Amino acid sequence: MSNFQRRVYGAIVRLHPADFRNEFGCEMALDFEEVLESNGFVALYFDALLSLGRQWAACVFPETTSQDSIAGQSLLAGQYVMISRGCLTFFDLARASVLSLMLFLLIGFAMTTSNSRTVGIQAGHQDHQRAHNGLEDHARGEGKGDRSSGRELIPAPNYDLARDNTAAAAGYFRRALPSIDDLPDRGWRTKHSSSTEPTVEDHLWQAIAFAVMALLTMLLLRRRPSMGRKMVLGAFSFLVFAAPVALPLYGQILHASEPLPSFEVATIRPWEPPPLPIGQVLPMKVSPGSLRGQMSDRVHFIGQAAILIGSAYNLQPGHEDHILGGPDWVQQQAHRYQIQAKIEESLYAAMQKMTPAQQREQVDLMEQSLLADRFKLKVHFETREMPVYALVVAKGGPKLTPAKDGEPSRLFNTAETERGIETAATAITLDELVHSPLLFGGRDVIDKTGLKGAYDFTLKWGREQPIVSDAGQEGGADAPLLFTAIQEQLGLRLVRSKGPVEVIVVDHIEQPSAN
Amino acid sequence: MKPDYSDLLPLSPATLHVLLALTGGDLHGYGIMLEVARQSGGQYKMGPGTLYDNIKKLLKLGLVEESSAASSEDEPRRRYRLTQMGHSVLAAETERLAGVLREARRGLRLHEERQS
Repeated sequence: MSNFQRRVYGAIVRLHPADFRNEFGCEMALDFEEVLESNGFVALYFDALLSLGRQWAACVFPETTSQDSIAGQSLLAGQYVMISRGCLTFFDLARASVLSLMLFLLIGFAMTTSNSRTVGIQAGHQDHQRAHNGLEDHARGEGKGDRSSGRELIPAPNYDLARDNTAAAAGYFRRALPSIDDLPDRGWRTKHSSSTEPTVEDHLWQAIAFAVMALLTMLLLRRRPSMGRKMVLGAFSFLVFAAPVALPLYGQILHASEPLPSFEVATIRPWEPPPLPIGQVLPMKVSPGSLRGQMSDRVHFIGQAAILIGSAYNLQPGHEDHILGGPDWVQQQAHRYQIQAKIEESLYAAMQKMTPAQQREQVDLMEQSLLADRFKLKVHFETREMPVYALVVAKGGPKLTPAKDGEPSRLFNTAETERGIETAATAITLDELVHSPLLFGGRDVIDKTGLKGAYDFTLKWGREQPIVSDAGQEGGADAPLLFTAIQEQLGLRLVRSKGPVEVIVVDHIEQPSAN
Repeated sequence: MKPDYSDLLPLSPATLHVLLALTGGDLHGYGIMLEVARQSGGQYKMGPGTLYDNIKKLLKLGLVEESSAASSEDEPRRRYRLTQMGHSVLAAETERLAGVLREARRGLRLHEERQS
């Protein structure tokens, strides 16, 4: 199963109404993993979209949809997923996607025109303001190459570790990327949040957006659309499919400055991997804010101590070699542990008003507290000279297009196949680029291009040779295809170098105490 | 007096299959999906969205409840069980379907006789 499929399904689950999502979202995500092979992605995708429509319809029109009714054969009653029929066309799928998006946007529209202002909106505004300030810092060049200041711009998104048996052997971790919900943290949707009171202009734009959405919905509901309508649908389908795979930027090591929150209850047990069918991925972390476990107050996490520490301190996946010191078992897969924890009710309720990134940060801090309590973990942070990649300008100069003013800052995959990936960027600074998962690998990447400002680009690269961890091996493996693509298409070059890297030094750690 | 469940009937196919799957014992969501596929000979496969839409409704109506049996440590999913009311509704639906089946067979037999 590809991360793309998981991300798309997770995004749909996340779009469900909160009460349904909180109650069943986690189980839906788990069951999706189980039945994907037998049912097929398209059928499950369509099934989730139908569920999305039904649940929102039940919320918006409670009287007409009769949510409690189990009788009858109406559209909003239970539906089979007809796997064997195979009659779904791309058009059907795309139309369902766009209609779901329309419904979601309409609900968002209704919420924004409401007179009530929720705490969540206020919290989001503060978050936006913080991100906006970070962008201004960057515009002044104050954050260039400075990882600590980059932290202000890019609030630490935690990562959801998922690892299959093969990947585990190679020490390669795949990162389940947060959804579009993380993007406000980067400030690209902050422009209209500077005031807490909506203006006449805001209402005008909302009304126009509403009219456009209503018109498109009417067009899309027609059974035999013309070619023009299909083209409109195609454009909107692109937005629907691209949105869930928008890539976040990496945060830095999470330094706690306040008393740490803690889990209400937690158990830690040694863990032995169960036998799994070939190709099946075992979820390594399920927690609020992560793609699969965002709807539950339970945290379920499996890994050796280094993985647990890396997660708690928001270390970039695959960078466990940045954890120094401590006994050998810290890094050994033979000493894996299973953590099952529950978040306190009031804290979990407060987390519902946070963005996914903030939720993950809360879980990180609770993990830090748990490690300190049960593993007696004590760490400090140092900056060491370590192998890195330096991003420099290649011969012939950069081939980047300066971004237009006011363009939102985004980096996302526009196409993803087994053979390759096409990534598009708008208004991305080079500093943001080097901290993006595009350059995810065993080494940190440092921007030494000297290029200021934001740029647009599209990058096509093959995935046959992903970047693998080769830290500490000067002159190691050949450059992967991505390196060549960056040089040829962006006019930039990644060269092996050495540079300052922040590491976690374990001062003390013990085997976990009894539950 | 025997309770009247006519306002809940006829059950939608998905609801019927979920209730039917739970007659064999407590199951979690994935178990229900497997059981439904088995019952239908693999002809119908229910997705998680459809399943939990129905479970939500059934929980609210009291036809299904969460099982109090503790799940295993490695299985964080909840299990569901059929309540007495759920059993009665399923029995009423089965009775209704049996009546439909009888009528269908009689109608077909008469049709064949007329043709011959």
